Amino acid sequence: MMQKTIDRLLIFLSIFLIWELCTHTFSILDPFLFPSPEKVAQLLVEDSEVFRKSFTSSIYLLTSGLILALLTAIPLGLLVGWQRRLHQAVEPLTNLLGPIPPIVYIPYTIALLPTFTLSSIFVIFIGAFWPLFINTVAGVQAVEKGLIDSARTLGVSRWTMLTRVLLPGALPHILSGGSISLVLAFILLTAAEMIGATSGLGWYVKYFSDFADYPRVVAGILVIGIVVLLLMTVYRQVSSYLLRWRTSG
Amino acid sequence: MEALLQLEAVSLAYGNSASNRLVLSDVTVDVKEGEFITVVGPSGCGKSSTIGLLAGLLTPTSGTIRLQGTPITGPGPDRAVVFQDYSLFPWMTALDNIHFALQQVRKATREEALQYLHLVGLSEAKEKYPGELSGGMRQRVAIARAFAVDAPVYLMDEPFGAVDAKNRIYLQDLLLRLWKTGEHSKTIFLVTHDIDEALYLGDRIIIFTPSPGRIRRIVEVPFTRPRTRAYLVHDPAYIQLRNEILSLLQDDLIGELELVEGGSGI
Ligand SMILES: Nc1ncnc2c1ncn2[C@@H]1O[C@H](COP(=O)(O)OP(=O)(O)O)[C@@H](O)[C@H]1O
Ligand SMILES: [Mg+2]
Repeated sequence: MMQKTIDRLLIFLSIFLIWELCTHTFSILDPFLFPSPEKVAQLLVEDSEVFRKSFTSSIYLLTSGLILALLTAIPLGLLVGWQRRLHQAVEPLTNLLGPIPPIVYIPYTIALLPTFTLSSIFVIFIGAFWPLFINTVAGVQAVEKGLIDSARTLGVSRWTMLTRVLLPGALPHILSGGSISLVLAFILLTAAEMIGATSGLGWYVKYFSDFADYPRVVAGILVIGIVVLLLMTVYRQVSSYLLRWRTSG
Repeated sequence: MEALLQLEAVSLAYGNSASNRLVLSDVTVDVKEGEFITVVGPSGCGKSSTIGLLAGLLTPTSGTIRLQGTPITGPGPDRAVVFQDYSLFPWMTALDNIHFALQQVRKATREEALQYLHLVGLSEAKEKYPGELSGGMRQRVAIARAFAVDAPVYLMDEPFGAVDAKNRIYLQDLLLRLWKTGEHSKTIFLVTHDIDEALYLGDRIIIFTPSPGRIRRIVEVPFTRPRTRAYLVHDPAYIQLRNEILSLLQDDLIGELELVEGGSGI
């Protein structure tokens, strides 16, 4: 445990050192394209208000799209996983629509929907929907038949079967689908922002690269990395809390 | 008095009309109210399928099953089931498992559920998930859950099959105790692969033939209750009955082997 932490710190320090040596100390790299750590740190402070606003705007789009996906993909996935006939009916559609890379929808939705906000929320929703839906269906089908029988012998209602048996039973699959959705949603968010936004983290990077302000581009990329890392960490914590019953056995 | 549970010429085949496999054939038996029936038979003879039929999870291909005169059409709160595994929901704590089962039949508080956990000596494990409990403890919770819903009929499919010998003895005695407590008399239908367990617990033992399962014989267990293990195993009548059942099961297995050998031309 201790060793791991030390190793990780060493890696970070070495990269930082190399960066520092190549830029600030010896000026090996072109300062126009490769800002020094000091410069980036200075920009992070200088632009902190812009970053705060960008973050708020990005998180708004991201959570709107994700919540829409959660609210539709999970109930639909539970139903489709549970009803054999429904599953057989929608399977070809899923196979056709599921693999389409959602990025390709961006220009179309921008044309289709009245505002940029709506179209990016929609694209994030589509991207997050399929992994969640497909994994919810698979999760329901992976629930032990014995547990379903056990629930039936207790005389559970249909609603209770879906919410208290199939939903928690499928949760391990749902959560792993959810992490794919989260990553995909973030990719789509930044892509959409680079194409058409006037705010947001993706917009920040795109905007300043148009001005060839590469120090700010690097600062923006760094902020995006940190945001994704934070989101994934929170997601993992929530997941392991929800799956705390899986400790052993 | 009319039988509580009647199986009348019950047959069961798995599969569709094109290809089906007969699993149970012409099973007829009447179970009296308050009776403790144990079932033994070779593996694959249809014991679990019989439990499934009685639970209402399966429908007989032909024949009828009646509970208090009414044909069984599906699961119901009048029958509680304990499986070898998978009875408990792994995402609910021991207490929540019992509470959840109780709530399906009536309004119930967690305190009420806790009483049943107390009954099987597991109050301290209330906040534990099944994955954190030993096999024996899990079955105790499953039994507590079954008795919490206070059904007149208990269906048990090798409930102690995966439990070590010491815990099995404890659970058998626990089960006998619960069988006789409460206001209503309880009827138990328990599948086991352990002849001693069948003899120790049962009023009657149903012995199945190999697949497709038919009733080979129904044996009355004459020993008075409460039975004492140490005494029983030295009772010549017990030893004789045990050997009789064993040879019935063995004859069937040998018969099956001969069939296979005959088929291969030896
Ligand atoms: N869902 C099923 N579909 C098809 N065949 C089954 C199914 N369940 C059990 N069987 C078959 O029915 C026979 C009886 O099974 P089972 O009732 O589990 O026997 P036992 O509990 O006595 O070992 C076995 O040969 C088994 O392979
Ligand atoms: Mg079985």
